[in-house]
Amino acid sequence: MKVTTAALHLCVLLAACSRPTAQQQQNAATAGTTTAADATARTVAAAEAFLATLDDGGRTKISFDFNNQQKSKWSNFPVGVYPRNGVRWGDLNATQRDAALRVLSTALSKRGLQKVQQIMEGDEVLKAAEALHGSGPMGSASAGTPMGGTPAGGTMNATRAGGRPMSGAPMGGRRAGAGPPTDMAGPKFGRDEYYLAFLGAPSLTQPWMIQFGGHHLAINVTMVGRTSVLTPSLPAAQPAIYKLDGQTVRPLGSENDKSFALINALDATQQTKAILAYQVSDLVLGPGEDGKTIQPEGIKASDLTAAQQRMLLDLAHEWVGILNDEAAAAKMAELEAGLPETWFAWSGPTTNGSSAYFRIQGPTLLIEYAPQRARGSTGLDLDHIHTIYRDPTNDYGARLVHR
Amino acid sequence: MKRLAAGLLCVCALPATAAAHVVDEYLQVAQIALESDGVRVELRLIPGAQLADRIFALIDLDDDGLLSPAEQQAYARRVLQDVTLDVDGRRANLALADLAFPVRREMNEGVGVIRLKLAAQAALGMAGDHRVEFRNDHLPELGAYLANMLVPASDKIEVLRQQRDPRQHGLRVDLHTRTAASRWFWGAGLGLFGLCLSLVVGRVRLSARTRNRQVIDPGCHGFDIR
Repeated sequence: MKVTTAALHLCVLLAACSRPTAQQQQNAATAGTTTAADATARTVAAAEAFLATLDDGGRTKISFDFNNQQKSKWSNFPVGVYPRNGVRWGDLNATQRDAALRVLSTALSKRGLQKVQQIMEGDEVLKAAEALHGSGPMGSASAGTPMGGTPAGGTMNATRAGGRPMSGAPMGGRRAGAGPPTDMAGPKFGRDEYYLAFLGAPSLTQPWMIQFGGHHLAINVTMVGRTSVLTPSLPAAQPAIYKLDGQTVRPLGSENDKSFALINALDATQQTKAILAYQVSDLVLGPGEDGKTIQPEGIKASDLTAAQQRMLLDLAHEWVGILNDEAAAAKMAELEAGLPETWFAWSGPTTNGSSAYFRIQGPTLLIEYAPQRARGSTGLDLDHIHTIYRDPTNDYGARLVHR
Repeated sequence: MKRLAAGLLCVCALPATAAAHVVDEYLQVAQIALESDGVRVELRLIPGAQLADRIFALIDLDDDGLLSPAEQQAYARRVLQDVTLDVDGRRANLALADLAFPVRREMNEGVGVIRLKLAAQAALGMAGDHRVEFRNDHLPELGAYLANMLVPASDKIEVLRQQRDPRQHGLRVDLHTRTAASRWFWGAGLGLFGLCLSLVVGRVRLSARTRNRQVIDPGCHGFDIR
């Protein structure tokens, strides 16, 4: 039954991607190709169509002011430990999920959506593992809804769809040590535990934002007119490799392989510059670290050959290319312009199959890839990876909004 | 069903408590900001879930299950004793500027962050080379460390070099400070040098032209035209 539902979603998604609307056809005929403005128009139309599938309660849950603090409330932690706001994936009916998928498929590229779905499926695998092995890592059992659980009755249950107060609020000025709020139930895993929120009303001209995330995933797409911005976003994975329908899935496999290819393409002198002499155990500028820029380290791209520079850009594209193709192309052009001032740093072994941290940092870019240490071991775990993608000048579209 | 079976087959290969975020280490993150009048350090201390009870007990001195302001201050002072900052070879007086503690539940779940903001005065705005050395030795048997330098807000301060030990207990930064005066001095110096250079070049050209006229102009009869 779940297979059927998933297959249906996939078919609807593919159909949505492959069949342009009359407006799109008109735009393509006019311009000869799709433009960033087309991407915005498609996404706005999809977002409005999704909103139309919700009842008043659902629309209240999903909608925030553009400048609401919700903007920065995302995390790599699972729901239940770090609650999300918006509408919960598991509370959407089939029609609503299809409409929500359409929003993601228009805002993101085909590969970007695939990556998002693979991260969510990985969490489903994790959920099954937690159920199999009992108590979770944080002292409580998984409490997710059943796999693929779409509520009966066909409508979203607005009372369950997020909107809970955030417990991760600032901590100062209160007496610490109080008992847990009654709405906290420990970590929750699985594809149902992802939330979609809109900050600002979908608009062709005014700034608005799509926020989608849950455990190991935060996608923040800010749209300002024809420009789309994906920073800050956090694509992560655990497990980083799993089998689904007989196929091996590696949500961040290309990131891993391209990075090892790059570090091994450097000569000994270049590696001496690139490889840091210390361990990096986690993201330096992960969730909650908005607005900061660290001093760059490693090797400057100006010290790379043209071929190595192309490899570096191709690696960066794994994050940039999550966004729709039009916006990603514009961002890649920006990165290319800033390439001479872009740095590549590496920490760890250089043999693919081992775990290593790396960072790409430029005038408008920060990417970190950080395998996590396995419990009880001293090494890093190839199967649990955090990454972050930021633009120190344009997180949440700040450069565009304040223009 | 096939999908689920495949997933479960894979799950069997996962270690127990596969969803583990790192639960058995005390992550200690230091971010260091250099300013013309001093150094600011933000420390984020995040006990893994398995260490929550142990760390909480270190803070909750009266064992009443709550972290009073006095207990928070006491723990912050304890951390301060384990942290050092040297500027230009001299120990700087790091003072606690702000603190925030999580609730017990957040610590139990491994997401509780103890935030300490520290500050020390230092004359980094003085033109010249400086060295800043930070070290964190708080609970080294449990700790995992990150130490990073933020890009200085002032363009007068240029970070030349960073060095860390393999576990990032310590971070040493060499920097150079340019002042407005030094920039004016160098600007004026460059201008003066340019002026002198153009005078010398002009003089050389004039001499060369004179020599040429002496050779070409027979009317001068070998007299120096100067």
